[in-house]
Order: sequence, then structure tokens, then C-alpha cells
Amino acid sequence: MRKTHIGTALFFIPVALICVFWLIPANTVPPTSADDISPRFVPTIAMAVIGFYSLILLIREWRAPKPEDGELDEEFGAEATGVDARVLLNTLILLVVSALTWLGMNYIGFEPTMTVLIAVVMYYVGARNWLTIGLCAVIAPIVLSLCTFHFFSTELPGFWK
Amino acid sequence: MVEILPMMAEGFQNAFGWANMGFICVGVTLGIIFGVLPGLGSVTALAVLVPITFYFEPLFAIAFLVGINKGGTSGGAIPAILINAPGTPEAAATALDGYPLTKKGKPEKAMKTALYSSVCGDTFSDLVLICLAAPIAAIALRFGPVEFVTIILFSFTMIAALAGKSLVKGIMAAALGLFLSMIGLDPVDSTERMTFGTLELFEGISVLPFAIGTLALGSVISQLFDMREKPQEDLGEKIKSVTNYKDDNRLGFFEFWGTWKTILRSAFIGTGIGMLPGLGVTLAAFLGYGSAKKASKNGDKFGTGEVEGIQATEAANSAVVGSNLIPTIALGIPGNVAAAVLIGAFIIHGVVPGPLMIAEHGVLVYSIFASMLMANVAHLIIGRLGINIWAQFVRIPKAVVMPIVILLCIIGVFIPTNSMFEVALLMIFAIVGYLMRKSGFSIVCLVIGFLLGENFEIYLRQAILMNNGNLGVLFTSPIAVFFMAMTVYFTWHFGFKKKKPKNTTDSQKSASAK
Repeated sequence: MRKTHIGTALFFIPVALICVFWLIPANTVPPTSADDISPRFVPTIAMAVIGFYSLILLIREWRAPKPEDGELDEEFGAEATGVDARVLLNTLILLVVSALTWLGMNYIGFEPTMTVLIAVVMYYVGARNWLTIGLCAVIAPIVLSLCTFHFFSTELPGFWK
Repeated sequence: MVEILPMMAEGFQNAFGWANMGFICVGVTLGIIFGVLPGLGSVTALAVLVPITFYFEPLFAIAFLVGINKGGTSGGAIPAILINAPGTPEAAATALDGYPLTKKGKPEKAMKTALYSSVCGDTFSDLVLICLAAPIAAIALRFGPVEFVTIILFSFTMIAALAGKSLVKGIMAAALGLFLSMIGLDPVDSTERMTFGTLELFEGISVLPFAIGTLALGSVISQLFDMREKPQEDLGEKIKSVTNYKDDNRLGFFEFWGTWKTILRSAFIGTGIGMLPGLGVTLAAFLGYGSAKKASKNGDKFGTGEVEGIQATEAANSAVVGSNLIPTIALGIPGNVAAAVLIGAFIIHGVVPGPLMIAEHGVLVYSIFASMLMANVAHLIIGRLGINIWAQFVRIPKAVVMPIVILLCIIGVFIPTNSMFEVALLMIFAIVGYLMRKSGFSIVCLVIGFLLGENFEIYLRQAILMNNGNLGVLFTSPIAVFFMAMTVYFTWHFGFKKKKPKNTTDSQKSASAK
């Protein structure tokens, strides 16, 4: 976790600096009233706080290295194992799958994209029963699409619609 | 008080309708199912199902969500009792005595105990909510923008200090949430802020993709990657062997109520913890268990299948559900992440939680309170009737459930807006949620920072505008000074004070061992 903290701090310090000195001033306008605070005041404070505490995190981890076990996320029981090469690879996979899913939904349609997504995800996490995979991958998107259309009058994306 | 009684009467009258009862029952049932399915739980259920309430009347929508929250909180106990697989940390405390009782051949008795205790804790907490929400809101009505700014600031610090393991990381998460809530048109001048000319961002980042992405989809993705690394065991046979026990599963009236003090004590603990922002259900469950173990004459038998152990945990964790709406309704500050999602639902339906809520929507508020009491009755009946059915849901493999939840998340975001931009935001926030989980940053702080961000800015700017641009106004009111002092104290105490090594309690040790 120490490496994760240092990495996070090293990521957020420049991000905070960029936001405070360029992104926020360049994308907000000055206040119209002399009595009001600037619209950039709260975002700047928020990013300054992130930068300040990142610095504290960095100094603290740098000065007192303590090997720690994984911490438990308080509400969901997901183990905070730290961000290592495996997590970064997972994030990359996630980015690619998300982008493909989004493009697929946009240009091919909800049902076929989700059929492929469900099949891939089920296979990825260890399901090997092709009947189960096939049934879930085909039936779930169609049923949910029909429900969405009939109950909420919403058509999910699809080029043929 | 004189004004409240007619509102209360009308509210209760509105709630006692068949349609409302139907929504509550469906909510409780879905909540239990989501709670039973390992890895989901009430927060995921709330986040995924909030969008469909767009089409409901506000009362039905909130009653439905309240039902989900109640069902989901107690549903998590079922896999913990049957197969020692708590889907959520709070259910780990239930497993301490629930699973040994199952091993003794009494799974149904353990589930009945959990259900009845849960309903008792919940009802107690709802009654406290009904009694305290209006008086606290009446006090809060005397507050102005200055006081609210400092209260929100204090809430950020308190939640950051108590919700996660590190105040520094908690504050960073809350500040990130605050920053994200600033994107869109400025609330005073209506000028663009960090929208990069994107039309879809003019109204800011919507609550739905943010909440569903970070809370539900992020959690599902995290679990999917974990499943890839640690293959899941087949639970079908395990459940079959457990539910085939034919031992005496009756739970006698005196056996259950003989330990009423334990239930009451745990309900008090849960209610107290629920009222304080940032303290979660898990803490309530373990504190309830720990205090019951100390106080009970059978304390040494805890962990071997004691009914009292299950009562203590379930009454405590369910008592959080009602009382965490006290700060939500009275001050607009969510007690925990489930309340934060409910705040999102309130906002979607045009109801802004805060001290004015009772004054402006008094009838609706009391209808919701009545619905909460009705949900407890529904929970008791549905939970009891389905006691043998819920066990079967545990058998559904995670590999089947999780991909379908991904679909629900995407549909949930798409339905209200018909926008693929929102779906893209959902995916981005899911990645943020995954990375935050893995790096131990509190999602609760992020969500609460985001939800309270807009109000924080509006109150701050109102306070400064009313005082001719003078920032020193924040130190003029005694209440504001008190909360500022508390903020500074919390920051110092939890962030910078050197801590002595803690002694872990037996219950926590055994829970973490499991």
C-alpha cells in the first residue's frame, strides 16, 4: 500500500497544480459582483486541498515506511490491495472493454453488444458451461431490452430501430 | 408540534394505500434478493434501481427504495448464516454465531432469529427517526448559510475521519467529489465552469452515472477481477447439504424475547451510530455483538451458535437504516452511503433534503415515515414466508449474476436520459470506483463530497454575498465557530495526532480471521 500511496500522491500533486494554475482559471470566468466570490474559488480550494493532502501523504509515507496488509473497504468488503501492475493491467482491460462496449452500443446496438459482453465476461471469470453462458448472454439483453421498451417506453440503442 | 400533527395524520393516511404497500413489498423482496446474492447488497440494489423510480410518484419511489434498503440490509445475513459467506462486512458479525447454529442443524432457526431481530432494530430506529427528525429540523431552521457551510465542512471531516481508515485519504476523496460537483454552470452567474464547451456538462455531472458508476458498477468490476484470480466454489452442494437438515428449527416466543435487553441495547447502539454521519453499519454490527458478549451471562458461548449473538448483530445493523435518515432529513447530510443514494433519489423527485424539507414537504416526509413502519411489517411477512426460498438464491453463481448487474447499471443510466454520454460517464466513474477501491480511498467520502458540494458552494456564496464579500463572516456565529473548532479538532485528532497501537477485540479478530 505504501507504493500505492506514494504513486497516488505523485499523480495528484501535478494534477492539482495543473488544475489550480491552468485548468480552472482557463475554464471559468471572473465574478460579476464585487461582493461575490469567484466561481473558481471552490473548485480551486478543492484541488488545493487535494494537492496539500497528497503532499502530506507523500511525506508521511516517505518518512515512515510501514508494510501493511490489505485494508478492507468499509462498505463493500472489496479488498484494497493497492495499485500494482496487475491492477493497472486490469484497468487497461477495463478501459478497452468500456470503449468497445460504448462504441458497440452506439454503432451496432444494445442487444448484440451485450450478448458478446456477457459471454466474454462470464468466460473471463471462469464460467465454462456453454449452455449457461449462451442462455444468459442471449436471453438477458433481450428480456431487459423488452422490459425497458414496454415499461419505460425507452428504446435502447440499435441501428435498426 | 400543533402543525406537525395534521401533517403526520395526512402523511400516514396517504401511506396506507394498496399501491404504496405494493411498492414497499416489491422493494423489500428485491432488497432481500440483492442482499442474498453475494457481492451485491443494499447499496448496489439502491444504486441500480434508483433510475426506475423516475417514473413513480415521489412517495412510491422513496417507499420502494426504503423497502430495498431494509430488505437488503437483512438479506445479507442469509448467506452469512447458511454458508459463512458474508457478502458485506456487517454480515460477517452475523456469521460469527449464525454459521455455527447452521452447523448444529438449525439454519432456519438462525435465519428466523436474524429476521425478527432485524425487524425489531429497524422498528426501534424508525420510531426514533419519527420522534427526532422534526425537532432537529426545527432547530436547524434557525441556522443560516454561515452555519450550514460550517456544518457541511464538519461533515466532510467527520465522514473522512470515520468512514475510511485514513483521514488524509478521506479528505482527498471528499475534495475530489466536491470538485466534480463544481463542473457545469455556475449556480449564481450561470457561467460555464470546466465544461470544455460540452453541452451535456452544462447541467453538471448527473447523480446517476456518478453514483451507479462508483458504487455499483465499480464494485461489480472489482469483484469480477477478484473472481478471475480466486475461482469461486460451487455453492449449490453446500446449500443443499445445509438446507437438508431436519433438526428442530422452531424459535420459541420466550427463547427469542427472553433476551429482549440484548435486542434493545443493540437497537440503541445501531440507532446512535446511524445518527452520526460517517459511521457505518459494520461498526454498529460489531459494537452490538461486542457489547452483548460482555453483558450476557452466556458471553463465553458466543461464537458457538448463540441465538443472542445473532440478535445482537442484526438488531444493531438494521437499526442504522432508520436513524441515518435523521441527519439526512433534518440537515441534508447523509448518514451513510445508502442515505447518500436516497438523497440522490429525493433530489431526482424534486425534494431537497434539509431543514426545510419537513416544512415544505411535511406530508410526504410523514408518508415516508409511515411507509418505513409498513416496510417493517412487510419485511417480517415476506422474510418469514420466503425463508426457504431465499436460500435458493444463494446458489446462483456470481458469474451469472454479475454480468447481468452490469446490464442493469447501463440500462439504469440510459433510461432517464436516453443519452450515450451518460453511459460513457458511467464507465469512467466505474473505473474511478475500481481504482479507488483498490487503493483504499473511501468511495463514501467521494459520493458525499459530490452530493453536498453544490449546497456547500451555494451556502458559502450566500453567506459571503450577504456580508459584502467578507470571508470573516464564517467566524461570526457561535454555532459556526463551534463547528469550525470541531472540524479543526477532528482534523488534528484523526489526521495528525500520533496514535497508540490499538488492541483488537476478540470479535473483530475472529471476524477478520474468517
